[in-house]
Amino acid sequence: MAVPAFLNTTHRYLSTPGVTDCNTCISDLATELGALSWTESAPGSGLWQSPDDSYGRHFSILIERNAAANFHITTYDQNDLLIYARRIVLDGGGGCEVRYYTGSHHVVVEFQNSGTKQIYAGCMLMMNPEDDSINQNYVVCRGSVTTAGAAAEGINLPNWGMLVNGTPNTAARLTVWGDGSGSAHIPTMPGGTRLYVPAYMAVTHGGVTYACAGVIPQCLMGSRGTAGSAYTVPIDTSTTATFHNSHATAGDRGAYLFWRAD
Amino acid sequence: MAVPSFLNWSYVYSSGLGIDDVQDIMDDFATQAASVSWTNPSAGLYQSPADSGGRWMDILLTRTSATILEFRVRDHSGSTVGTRRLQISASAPTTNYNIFIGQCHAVITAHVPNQAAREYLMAFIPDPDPEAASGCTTTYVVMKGYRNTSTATVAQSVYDQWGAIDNGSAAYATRAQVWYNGASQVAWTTLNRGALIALPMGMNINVSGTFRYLGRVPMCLLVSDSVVAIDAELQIPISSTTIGTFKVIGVDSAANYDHYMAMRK
Repeated sequence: MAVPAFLNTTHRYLSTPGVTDCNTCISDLATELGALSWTESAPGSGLWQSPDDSYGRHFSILIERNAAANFHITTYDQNDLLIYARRIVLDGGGGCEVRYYTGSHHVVVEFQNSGTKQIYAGCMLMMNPEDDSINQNYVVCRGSVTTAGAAAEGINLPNWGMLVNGTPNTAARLTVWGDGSGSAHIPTMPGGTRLYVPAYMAVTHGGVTYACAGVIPQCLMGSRGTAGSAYTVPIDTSTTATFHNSHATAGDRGAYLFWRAD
Repeated sequence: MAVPSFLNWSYVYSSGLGIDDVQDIMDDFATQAASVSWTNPSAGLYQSPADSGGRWMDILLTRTSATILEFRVRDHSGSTVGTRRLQISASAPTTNYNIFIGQCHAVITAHVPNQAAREYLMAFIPDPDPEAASGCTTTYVVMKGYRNTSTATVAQSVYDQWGAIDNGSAAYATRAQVWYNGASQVAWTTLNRGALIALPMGMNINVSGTFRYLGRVPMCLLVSDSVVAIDAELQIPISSTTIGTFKVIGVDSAANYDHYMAMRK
C-alpha cells in the first residue's frame, strides 16, 4: 500500500497566535503559499494561483483585508470563474490563534476564536481512480459568512460551494459516513481505535445525479475527538501523519473534518 | 495492495430455480455450510467455524411450513440475536433462491421471477480489522430478515435495522454504517466517467452503553441501487491483482440511502 493520492500532495501547516489584524493573515498566507509554489499575479495583489497539477489543473484565491477583523477570501476556478467570496471574522480583544493548512491543492484558514470559530476552505478535488482531467468542476470552497456578513456555509454544515452547470451553487455536498440515524457520528471501535475515512463530495454532473465529484485533499473525516487537538493517523503501512480535529463538522451528521498539520 | 481481510475469508455460493418447498433451501444450505467447515450439531442447527479470535455463531433453520423458513441466530454464548423468516411462493411462478455462506457470513435470498420483492435472511460476524478478533467485544453477531416470527413483513422502520446483542439485550437498531449526502440522505452513485463505487458496509453495536464500530460486514460491498440491477454480477477489483465477483442481492443496507448489498460469490 502506498500513501493515497489525496494525501500525497504537497502540504504545510502554520499556527500564528495572538492575531488581531487580518494583515497578519495576508502576510502569513503569502509566506505559506509562496513556499508551495503558488504564484501571486502581481506583488501585493493578494491574487494567488496554485501550481498546475499533473493534469494542468489549478485554482485561485484572492485574499483581502476588509477590516482589521474581517478577512475576505474569494475563490476562482481554473477559468477565473467566481465560485464564492467568503468572510471569516476575528474575535476582538487580545487576538486569537490562526491556523493555516495549505498545499498545492488546498487552502484552509481557521480562526480559533474564543467565541464562534471561523473557517475558510478551498481546494481542488481529486478523482482517483479516474484521472483528474475528467471533471472540469473540481474547485470547491466554503466559508463562515458572506462578504456582507450573511450566513454562508458556516462551520457546522455539510455545505460546500462549487460551479454546477456554470453557476455557483452551495449545497450539502459532503458525503458523510454514519449509521443513518441522523445524529450519529463516526464511532470508535470497541478497543478504542479511532476511524477515519476520505471526505468525498457529491455533485450533479453530466446528467448523473449525485456523482462523486472527488475527494478533498489532505483531509479526513473521523471519529469525534477534541476540536483543535492533534491526532496521529496511519496513512500507509509505514507512514503516519498528523491531523487536526477541525471545528468544522458535517453538520447534524456529526462527522468532524481533520486537516493535515505536518 | 492485498485483498482486505473482510473480503478474504472462505465463501461459497449456490442457487436454485423454481422451488416450491423451503426444504430445498435447507438441503442446499446444509451442503454449502459443510463445504466451508460449518458443523451440524443437531437437526437444522449449523455452527460456523471459530475464527482466529474464537468467534462463531450458530443458525437454526426450521421448516415452519412448505413455504416458510425460519432462521434463528445465536452467538457463541447461546444468546439469541434474533429470529426472522422468509416466505416463498407455492404456486407458479415458483421461487428462485441464492445462498452465500462462509466462515463469518450466511445469507439466503429468495424471490419470484419478475417480482421486485426480495426476501432474505442473513447473519454476519463483522471483521474488526485493525483491532484483533479476540477480545474486541463479546457481542459481535448481527442479523436481519424479511419477516418476523409471525411471518409478517417487517415494517420499514424496522427494516432499516439489524439485530444484535446491545449491551446485554437482543435488539434491532440502526446499525449499518453507510455513506450518504449530508442533507438529502442520498449517496453518490458513480464517478464522473461512470466508474462504479463499491464500499464496505460497517456495523455498529452498543457496547457498555456506547455505540461502537464493530467492523466491516464480511464478503459484502455496497453499491448504488441507482446504477446496478438486482442480480447483476459485478467484477470488482479487490486488490492490485484480484478481481472479485459480487452478486447484487437487492437488499438495501438501510432504507432511503440508495445502497444495495452485493455478496461475493
